[in-house]
Amino acid sequence: MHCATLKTSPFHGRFPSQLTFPNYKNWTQFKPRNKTHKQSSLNSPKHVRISDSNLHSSPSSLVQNTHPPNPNSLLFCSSVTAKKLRFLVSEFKSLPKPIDRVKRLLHYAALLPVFDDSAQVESNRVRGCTTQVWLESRMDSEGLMRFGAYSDSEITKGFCSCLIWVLDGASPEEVAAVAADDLVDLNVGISGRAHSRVNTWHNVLMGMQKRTRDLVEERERVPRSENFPAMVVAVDGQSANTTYAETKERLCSPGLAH
Amino acid sequence: MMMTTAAEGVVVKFPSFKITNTNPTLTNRRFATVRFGSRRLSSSSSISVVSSVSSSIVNEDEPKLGPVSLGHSTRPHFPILHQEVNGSKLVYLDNAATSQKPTAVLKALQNYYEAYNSNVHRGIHFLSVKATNEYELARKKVATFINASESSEIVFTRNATEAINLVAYSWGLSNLTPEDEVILTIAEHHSAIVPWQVVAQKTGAILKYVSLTDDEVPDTVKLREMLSKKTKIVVIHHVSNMLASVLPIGEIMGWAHDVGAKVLVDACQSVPHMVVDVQSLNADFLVASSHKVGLLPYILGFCHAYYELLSVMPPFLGGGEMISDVFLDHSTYAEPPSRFEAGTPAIGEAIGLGAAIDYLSGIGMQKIHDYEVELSNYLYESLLSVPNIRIYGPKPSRTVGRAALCSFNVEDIHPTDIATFLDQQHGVAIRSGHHCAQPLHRYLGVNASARASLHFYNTKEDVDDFVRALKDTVSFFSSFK
Repeated sequence: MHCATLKTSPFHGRFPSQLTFPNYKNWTQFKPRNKTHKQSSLNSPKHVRISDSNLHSSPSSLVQNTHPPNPNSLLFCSSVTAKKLRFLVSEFKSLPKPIDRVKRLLHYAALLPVFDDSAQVESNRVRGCTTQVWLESRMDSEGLMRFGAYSDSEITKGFCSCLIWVLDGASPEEVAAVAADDLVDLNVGISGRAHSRVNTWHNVLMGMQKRTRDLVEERERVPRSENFPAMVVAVDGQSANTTYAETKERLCSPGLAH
Repeated sequence: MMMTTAAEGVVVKFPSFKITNTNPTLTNRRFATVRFGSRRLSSSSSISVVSSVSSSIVNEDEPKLGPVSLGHSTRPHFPILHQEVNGSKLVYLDNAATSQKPTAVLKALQNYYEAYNSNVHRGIHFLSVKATNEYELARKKVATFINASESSEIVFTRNATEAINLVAYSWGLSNLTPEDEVILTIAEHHSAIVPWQVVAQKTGAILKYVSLTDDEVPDTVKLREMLSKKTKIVVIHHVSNMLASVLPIGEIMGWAHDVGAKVLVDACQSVPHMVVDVQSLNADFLVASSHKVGLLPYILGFCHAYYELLSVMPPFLGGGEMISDVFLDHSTYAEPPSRFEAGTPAIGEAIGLGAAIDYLSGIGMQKIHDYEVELSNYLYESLLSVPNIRIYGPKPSRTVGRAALCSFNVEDIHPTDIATFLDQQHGVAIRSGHHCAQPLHRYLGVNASARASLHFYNTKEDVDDFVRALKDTVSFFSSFK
């Protein structure tokens, strides 16, 4: 899957390999349905040719953020997704001029796969203050995440294109492991740590992760039934005599004040 | 690493251009008053819009905008303006979101924290007494600034949003009943809409919204027609944060009072830019925030209401300071304004607010307003020279003034893309998005807009830099199509 994804990447396939990465240590506890496939992908990067040059040296002239690296960052892991993320960061760090970073995003915006108009529905909206973004998420038969996105803003489409290139085809664990901090060096507009309503990087990433969690939860919930009793007691005094799924749906729906 | 895009060679920094006067009708124009009584402009009363605006306005013939303008003389007082952003000189045009603070305010804050930081209305020691005196002096300065008759009519809040919530929860929950009507306009800030939605849900009151005229000004004729004995309160802005329109608050007040309705005026965009006289306006409630109202620190807003009205309103928040006596089963409440100021207030911010009012008063609000009117017109007319631009709100004329801001869109370019490029490539700070006015944007058929907003420390050169950068931005994105 990763190999196929890379062939369609916007990064022109210049991926030298033979790099040794630290072992991946920070997986969350998601359990992909097709574990065999995931491990195979992650342990066999021979066909993946991603450059790691300059990733661990951060020439100050190119890096505008001064935050220390997060040792738990996905950037220090060895998965294909991590390599792609490193590659993306490296690419933007190599562009010291803001206009060049904007141009690069616009270039990627042009490469964003077509998003079906029918998917531009309210349930796919990524909440943000300044642009409209739609994100479609699904889990394929291999248990891997598939994403599509669209925005009315070209720069935002560029953000989406980059994130989709990194995370489309990734396992749920990989999606969950990307931290907003990992995006700091992308450095176009508000990036990385700024948990702002106008931080598109952050909003789209959080949207991908939330929908991934929901899909994993949904997948794992089905076999064991949704009919276990709720442990939530609402403020209106309702006792736990409904199912968890019913109560969660009722209490967590947007617009309900409880 | 990447392929060079075809557009890379297209981005051009526009050379600075000399502006020459070819249209003397646009010079030395003044708006003695900012009134919007005339909803529909006759063509004869409108300024003819010239596309070659850059050649229609002359620096030399606009003494207020020239090298000794108010903007030029006050810029040195604002240290934050003198920096580079992304390699370009900062041009700050996001004043409607928040304004910058002069050295006098920064020093007042520093002095408070260095010399007499202490809680107010509690201790009897030197620092507490000093802090209390300065805090209450700030309240008096606010009262004088807006011509309130008593400083006890000024309630300090966290921000204007909290001030509106104070009125909605305290006055609204006590006075609204099912079928009562609350009248607002579709151009209200979310902070003036949402609290009344909550109160309407709790009380059964009905919200009614006034739409816009063809000139994109809230339709005051329709507003007047909506008023009835059912109307209990009109919630209305003084100056629109998107349309730049100014409503005739005095007239609206009269119409509302004739049917026995109260009026809450959101003055966030007017108090910093013009003389606001609460006694003349006769508003029942007037709210403003300190940070965007001009130079004033964050974490502070205020609500003005006549003491008689405040004295019959129940508390909004419970806690220290707002009580008279507390028993285990009940409490009695302090008199206003303390009744509405639960807990330790933002003392330093209030003291900074006092310093800001001193600074603004030293310049004179009328002088600030006159200068901003000139600069606002210059901004509007300059923006018309940008290809495919759509500026929202009324066209300025001799009878129709605009506040010192322009919200706009450029065809086929998202406003956030514009704002991002202006920031990244030109160091120009503007706002993009819905400006907390989603209903208004929906009415106008757009999801978002860009907004450039001025303050008196901005100059004609700021406007020129911005328009030049905007043209470059439009050219840049057009080259990608």
